[in-house]
Amino acid sequence: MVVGIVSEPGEGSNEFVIVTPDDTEIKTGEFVYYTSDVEVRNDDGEIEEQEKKIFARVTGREQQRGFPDQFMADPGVSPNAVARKLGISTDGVDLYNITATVIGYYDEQLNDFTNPRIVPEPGTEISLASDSDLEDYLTEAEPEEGSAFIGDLIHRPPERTKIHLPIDAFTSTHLSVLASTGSGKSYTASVLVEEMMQPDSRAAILVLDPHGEYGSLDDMEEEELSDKFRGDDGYSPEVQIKRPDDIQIRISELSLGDLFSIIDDPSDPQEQVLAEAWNQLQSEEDDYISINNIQDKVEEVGEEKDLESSARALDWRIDKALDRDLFDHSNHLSLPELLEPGQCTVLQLDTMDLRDQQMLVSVLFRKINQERVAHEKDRESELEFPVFGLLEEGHRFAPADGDARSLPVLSTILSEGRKFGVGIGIISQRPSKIDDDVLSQCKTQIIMQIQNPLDQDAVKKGVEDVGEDLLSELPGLTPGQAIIAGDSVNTPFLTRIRERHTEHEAESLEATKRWQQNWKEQQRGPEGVAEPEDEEGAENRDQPLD
Amino acid sequence: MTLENDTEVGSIIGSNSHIDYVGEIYTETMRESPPEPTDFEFGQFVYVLKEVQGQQRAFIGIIYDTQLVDPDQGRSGPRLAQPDEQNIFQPSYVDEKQVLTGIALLGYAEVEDGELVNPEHSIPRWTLEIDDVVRKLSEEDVIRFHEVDEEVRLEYYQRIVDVAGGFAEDILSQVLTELKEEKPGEADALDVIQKNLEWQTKMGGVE
Repeated sequence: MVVGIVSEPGEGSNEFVIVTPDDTEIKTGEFVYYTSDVEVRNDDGEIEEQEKKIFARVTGREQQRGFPDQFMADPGVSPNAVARKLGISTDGVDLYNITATVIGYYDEQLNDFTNPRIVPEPGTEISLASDSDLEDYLTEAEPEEGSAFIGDLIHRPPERTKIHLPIDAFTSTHLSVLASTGSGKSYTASVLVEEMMQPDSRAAILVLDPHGEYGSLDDMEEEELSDKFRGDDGYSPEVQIKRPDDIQIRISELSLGDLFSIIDDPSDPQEQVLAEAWNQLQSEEDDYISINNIQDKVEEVGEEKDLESSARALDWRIDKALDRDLFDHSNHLSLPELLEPGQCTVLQLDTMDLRDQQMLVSVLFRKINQERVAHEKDRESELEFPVFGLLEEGHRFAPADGDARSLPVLSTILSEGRKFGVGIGIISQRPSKIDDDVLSQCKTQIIMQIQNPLDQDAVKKGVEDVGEDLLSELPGLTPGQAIIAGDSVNTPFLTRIRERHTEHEAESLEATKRWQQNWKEQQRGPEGVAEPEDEEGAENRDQPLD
Repeated sequence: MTLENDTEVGSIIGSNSHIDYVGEIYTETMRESPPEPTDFEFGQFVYVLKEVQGQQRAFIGIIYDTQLVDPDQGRSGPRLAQPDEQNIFQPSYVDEKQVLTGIALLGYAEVEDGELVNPEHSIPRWTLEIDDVVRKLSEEDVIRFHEVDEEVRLEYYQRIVDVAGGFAEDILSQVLTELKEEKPGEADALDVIQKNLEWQTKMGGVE
């Protein structure tokens, strides 16, 4: 369907202007195309001219002709009514100038868009891109074949243009979900998890959940949702929810750096003693190291090095740092238990303090990375399959100020993880507080409503291929709407995230309802207590004593 | 009341264009009961009845201008007759005093059983002719002429502005005021048009 005619080239080198009679079909962010001959290499490697659909994205809309303002002098009278009275036709009055940016034609050999580097001539007919073309060309994913059905295009009617993201792509090159509070980032992340747990992918996922928002993912195991998640071969996803009480770190799994970071302000000699003691303990290759082991070793080393006072000073520091529920000499989260294909493990960290959360991420992901590297290098490994870790509140674990134990290990995984099959998904409402390198290493971005200007800037810096026109949409997106950009898609676009199959838990508390409830409970008062006036003999209370 | 009973105010004697006609108002010498001054006032709707293609039609216009013509004016020579006797000796001096009116053609309507039906505000394809009788359009029929597709319309608006020039605002304002009174339900929209008209004409003069 032809929706407009090219009137002139636009300001930018890839821009052009279309004139269209009405605005009902063409919205900002919409995809249109024209046909043109381009030189392409055919299957035999020869260059030939082929007629191709050249796609473009609508970036702006301006009214060129419409009723004069004077017709709108009375809010109670529509300009149409005024125009009709004057014998002016009310149909087709509005003329719009639409600005569009060329994306290119889809090159079957590259599986991506190629920009022809020329804008269409004035007079070229512009058509609306068909749903099936968009489904085929926007992403390289086929439904039911390791793809995540994330939602549909925002400017088309619901469920008309379905968007599937290739799970292989975003799990290997990492993902970020950036959105302000309440705009649906954990909802979107849950949709992704649901998709990754379906029979066509059966992922091994670890969710770090500092707010306890992902507990309802265990609905996936429910019988009612079996049509969504069960496979014909008997597959059914497993969901493990770990409460903070279940989460422990085995002391022997700490690195020296981890130790230093939790020990209270050690002096240089103390560090020297601790380093020596720790290295000796590690070299003994004992999986179980207790606080006492460390303290004894520190004392031993102190004596050897003639640094007894430092060793003594370390003694209580070690106690203070490690004598907590989080650390244990034998219990720990074992990787085979946490990670398995077709299993999603949610670590709820809601009562854990920030440093402990960072320590946990640091220890866990270092171990995951080590095991994956070992596997890829053909050494013995606990993880023989790729894993995907989803970090809610990502700015806590990879903060821009660098003050987190978990940052170095995350940086390593994000820059090298693709080789070893460790994928990371960073979810955050404060992109400006995330380390720049970490953010820019997440090659697929799902960006939802962001109003804070600092965060908008961070997104602009961290996200390379999203144009200004799309970023300007950020403050205006409503919950559940997202821009998807990056390596998993061929060009950025606006999406409406699909509805979750599992229940959503992260709704805000209904304060007024809770207050009313509590007030009523208090009014009832404890049973068996009577008001002073109702007590037996109250009427005689004020009688003088004879 | 049928259209035929309406007062005859004059006849067409010429035109400046297809939609801009000149009418001459009947005087005592032409009709026994000549029209009263209120019958051909500024802004008065008038019509000419004509049969076109077997269909009786009323061509509706509005008086947007008047000119007085006195051939005697400026003649200072002696008269043979005394003023009282001029009627007898020099009737042409009296006859040739004319009141000419500018009539802007606004549209037409079919006439059935003496009633206006299917009013159209577009330019009629057919022309008026010399000596066509111009009649005064009753107020009732003025309203009927403006009711197109069950709502009040002034689709001839721009034509009046073009033909009547500086007088257009007064004429249109008069029409709009009357229509607003008669059709209170549509007063708001008419008011928007009227205020816009006033603003444009009056501000146009100031700027």
